Parts: sequence; C-alpha cells; structure tokens
Amino acid sequence: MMKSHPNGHLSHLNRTDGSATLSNEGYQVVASVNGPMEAQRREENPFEAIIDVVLRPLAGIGGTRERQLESIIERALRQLILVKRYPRCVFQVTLQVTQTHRGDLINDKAVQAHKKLAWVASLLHAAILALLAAAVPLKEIATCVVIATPREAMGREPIRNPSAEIMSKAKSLHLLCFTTSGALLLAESEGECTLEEWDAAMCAGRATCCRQLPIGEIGPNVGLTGV
Amino acid sequence: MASSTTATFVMPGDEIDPSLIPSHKKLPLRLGPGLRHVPPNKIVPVIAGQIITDPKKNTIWVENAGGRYVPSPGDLVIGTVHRSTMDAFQVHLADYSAPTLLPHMAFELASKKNRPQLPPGSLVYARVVSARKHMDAELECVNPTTGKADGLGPLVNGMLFHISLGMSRRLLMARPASDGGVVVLDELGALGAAFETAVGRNGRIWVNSESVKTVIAVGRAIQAADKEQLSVEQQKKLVRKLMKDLS
Repeated sequence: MMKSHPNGHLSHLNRTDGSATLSNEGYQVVASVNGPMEAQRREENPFEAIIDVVLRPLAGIGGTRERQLESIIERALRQLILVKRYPRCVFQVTLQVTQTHRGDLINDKAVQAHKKLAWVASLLHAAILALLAAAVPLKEIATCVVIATPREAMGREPIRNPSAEIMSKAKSLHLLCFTTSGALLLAESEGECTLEEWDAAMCAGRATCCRQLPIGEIGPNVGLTGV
Repeated sequence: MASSTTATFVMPGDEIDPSLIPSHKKLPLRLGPGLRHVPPNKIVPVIAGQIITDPKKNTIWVENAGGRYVPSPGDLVIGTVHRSTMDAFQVHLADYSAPTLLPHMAFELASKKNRPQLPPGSLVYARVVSARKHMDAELECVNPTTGKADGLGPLVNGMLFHISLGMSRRLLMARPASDGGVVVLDELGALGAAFETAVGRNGRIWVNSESVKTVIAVGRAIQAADKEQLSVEQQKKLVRKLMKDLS
C-alpha cells in the first residue's frame, strides 16, 4: 500500500473562529473551534474554561464510543489550552469525520468508531490545527504517532504510523502524544505487549514526535500513570 | 507597521531567539498579545503567527489575523444591544460571547431624567473601559474627562459587515493605506462614492450612505479584500470594477 503524506487546510470555514481539515491515509477530519464563548450557567466553571469536544462519525450521530474518544481528546486539549485565562468560558471543538478507510466500512456501510487508536491521532492533529487557526492561547502544541508492535514473524522493530493492514495484524498498538517540550501528553494502548516492547514503542514514539529536541532535553515522563 | 526586516513565525511553546527581543535604555519591555511571561525570565508565544517588534516603544507581540474578539481596555468596538437592565445595556461584541455592560450614564448628556433609549438589536460604537477575566467587560460611549461623545454613540441606519480581526486592526491604524495596505476605502472615496464608516476592533465595520447600493458595494469590497487577502493593486482593480457597476 502506498503511503500518502498528510494534507491539511486551514481556516476554510467562514462561520467558525478557526477551522482545519486534515486528510491522512484515506482518513479525513474537518475540525472547527469556537471560543472563548459564554458557557451555559449549569456547566460553567468559575475558575477556568471548559472544553467541549464534539465528535461526529461519518454516518449517524455519535454513540458511547464517540463519547469515550471525546473524553480522551478533551483531557489532552485541556493540558494545552490556557484554560485559567478564560473563566466561565467554553471552547467548542467539533470534529466531523468526512472520509474513512476502506477497511472501516462493513458491507460498504460506515460503522461507528471501533478501531479507535488510529483515529485519535488524526482527530487530535486536526483539533490542534483548528485551535492554532482560531488563535486560542496554547501553552504548547502536541504531535502524536501510532506505533505498532509487530508479531514475531514480521520482525521486532516497532512500526511508526502503520497502515491499516499492519494494524490489523499487529500484536499491540500504542498511541503516543508528546508536547513541544517533549513531555508525554497521551498514551493509549491496545493489545498486549511486554515491558521491553513498551519501552521500544516509547523510544520510537519519542524519536518521531520530539525530533527537534536533543536527547538530553527530553522532558520527564509526566502523565505516565494510567497506561 | 513597525516590523523587523525578516519575518519570523512562531508556534505556541517555541523558544524565541533572544536577538529578536528588543532592548531599550529606559523603557521597560512590553509584551503584546500572543506572548506570555513564564517567571523568572522566559517569554513564550501562545499563538501561532509572525513576531513583530517595535524597538522605539520597546514592544514585542505576535500577529495573527484570526480568532474571536476578546475585550481589552481602550479598544473601539461596535456592539449589538441585547437588552436593557436597570442601569445598563447588555451589549454583545461577538456572537455567543459573554455580554458586556454599557451603563445608561455612559452617554453624552445622559442624566437620570434623560437616559438613552436603545431597543434590542441597535448598534453602538463604544470604547472598552475595563476588561478583567473574572468580571463582565464594561463599555462607554463618552469621554469621561471632557464629557463629549468624540464620535462614539448609537449607530443609526447603515449596515454592519463582519471582517476578520486582522482586517479591523489594519483599518484602525493611523494610516491604513501606507501601514496596513488597505486602500479600498480611500479608493472608493476618490472615485466619488459618498459614505461613512465606523470600524470596530471586534471585527465589525458599519457602513452608511445615502444610497443602499453604495453601502453594499463598500461592505462587499472590504470583505473581499479581507477574505482574498488582496494586494494594493488588486484592491484598486476591485474598486474600479465596483464603481463601474454602481454608475
């Protein structure tokens, strides 16, 4: 399968404060950001802004799985946005999937999110691009990568940004997200792996996301709990 | 626009090259929008954009044309009256943003007997007095030292057009044509269109004229120059075409 480069468009939606489209490997997301807006009375926080992530799948409205992905993305974005600057406000991040892998269609019908890790990377990248377009104050930006640990027969090296085919055959999948300063922002895993394989995946992820940093300056493993 | 010779673009969290930060013998360094000071001595960008410095005023900021308006003291804005409470109007500066307060007494010649009547939906040209994050922002339509309106107050008739924050900042510069590169209004005036405008820092421009055709032409010209990022030459061409259609 040929690898295509990620492709993005910024600020193409007129009625939002910031928007971005990201297409990567046959998967396309349109992200829009509105904010800081006035939060509804019952959900407002008097000390910081709330972040409202809405994920819309290719077909239909979101279900439980979309809610789970929303909460993962919300927790990651909360660390990046300067929420203390905007008390009683809300930042609304809407992510609409407009195109998906062939493999995600069952009988040519779109199904809801089930291969979640591969999705989160694209969703998060699209959300961050839209936040940049909306000039939302951010502490840092973050990049993420999917790492596949192959089965014995396919070699031992972790594979970065694997294709859908490799993902379906991999022993375990790891989604790793690092900020500009090299701190670990998000780590979600699927499948089973040994501690050595996890370390190898972390190394590969860090090398991909924090390429500009010298090795000595890469930050501590903050947020490693709950992996 | 005061700018360094080469454009430097930054992303949030990037390190700023110390050589870019201006230094001055007397004035303290002032950080503009898009930068934050992380104690003790780090200056970190919080938005993506071009770094602009003004060595004379010893200021540095990040320029980004997008985003939603957040009130800041001293800004001239065009607000929409939402409703009137006991002693103030609730005014919206952007759709769905938190309302700001415009006291009934903050108008020229306003008194308890003679308070301004502004029905919901009317437009006001006002100045932001205070904007603190834990309080509603406050507006005024009068200069508190002289008691004069200085051009602020209700905007009657005319039409409101939405533009980007970057475009409204360019229009509000002392010399929009030479500093901001916006010649649309000057050209329209030079070719004989008669109209008046008020530019709000919150991405709004109000246009009024005797003829409705002129109002729409002026508004559309500004919006086109903004959206398509037209150069000075392209703006002149657009205006000539519009004026030909008008007459």
